[in-house]
Amino acid sequence: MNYKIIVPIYNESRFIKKFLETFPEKHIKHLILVDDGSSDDTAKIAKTDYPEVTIIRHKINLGKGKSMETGALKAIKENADILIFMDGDLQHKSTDINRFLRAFSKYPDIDILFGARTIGRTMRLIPFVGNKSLTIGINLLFHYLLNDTQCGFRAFRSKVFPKLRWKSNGYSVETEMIINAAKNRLQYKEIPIETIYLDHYKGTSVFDGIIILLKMLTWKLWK
Amino acid sequence: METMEINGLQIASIAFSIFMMYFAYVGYRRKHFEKWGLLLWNVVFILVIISALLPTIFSPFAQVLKIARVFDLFTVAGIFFLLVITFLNFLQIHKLNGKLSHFIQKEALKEDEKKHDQKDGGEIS
Repeated sequence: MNYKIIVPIYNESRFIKKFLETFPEKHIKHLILVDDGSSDDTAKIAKTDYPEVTIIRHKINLGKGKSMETGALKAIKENADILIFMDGDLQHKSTDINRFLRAFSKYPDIDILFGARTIGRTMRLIPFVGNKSLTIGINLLFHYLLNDTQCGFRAFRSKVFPKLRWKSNGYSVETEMIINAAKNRLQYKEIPIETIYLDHYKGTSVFDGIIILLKMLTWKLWK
Repeated sequence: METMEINGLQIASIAFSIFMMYFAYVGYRRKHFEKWGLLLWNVVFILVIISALLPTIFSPFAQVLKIARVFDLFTVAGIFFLLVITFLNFLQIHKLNGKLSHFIQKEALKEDEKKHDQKDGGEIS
């Protein structure tokens, strides 16, 4: 099974080395890092220490959604069957990649796999409320029953990419992907993953949450 | 002979329009837009000056539209104008954003391909 692990990165020079060190040897050559116009040395550090990693550079910052799309296009160009997406901020454990790969082998009918964090135990209150609200909203509006809709750790078969292809630039990409999957009735499953909540978290803010909610409502009406 | 009184609002409108006409000219000189752009914006600000100096010429329009005062007509027209400009800006920004994203993504993938080709070439030689 040819797979690619796509990681959008932006100004992660402090953590990129540590992030890459967590990867088992066998996964390293499958990595595609999409540097989304970092103003620091993220790409340079990664390339120097891990020359076997594919690094694609956006000259300017386009957002997480566009970085994921660029990574997906590159993976498809390299004939990948499975596209795995994860965040590059050390929040996700690279050892969980095997869970996704095993699940795709075990369930040949599954098109898309979503990582699900153990929400509630370690997540802070505001992200917890935001995540739960969006998850309930998606479950109700699109009848796609998931426990964690905002987790960036997910994977799908490359053949469903045209059906899943998103337009979102930023953090609403995760939600749009679920909605596209729901509208196209793709077969899905959730996989429990481990998550480390870090102090340097720079993901979805309250403002992003509101934008996602508004977009979700418009997608319900027009998508 | 009837003398024309000019109030503060009229002075402010005229001063604003003259300033904006100068600003449009500077924009044209810096080649931010073509001659037609300068002409269009000058026409807009000349209209603002005319409406500030001779508001009564718009009274028939206000009557037809059943708007009590010419000032209210200007307010409504101003809001419509701003809405049109905002909508056009939204369209342009949306279009540019899409084009820019497409271009940056294409460039990134092309550059990666180039790197691969160079690497392959190196290995063969």
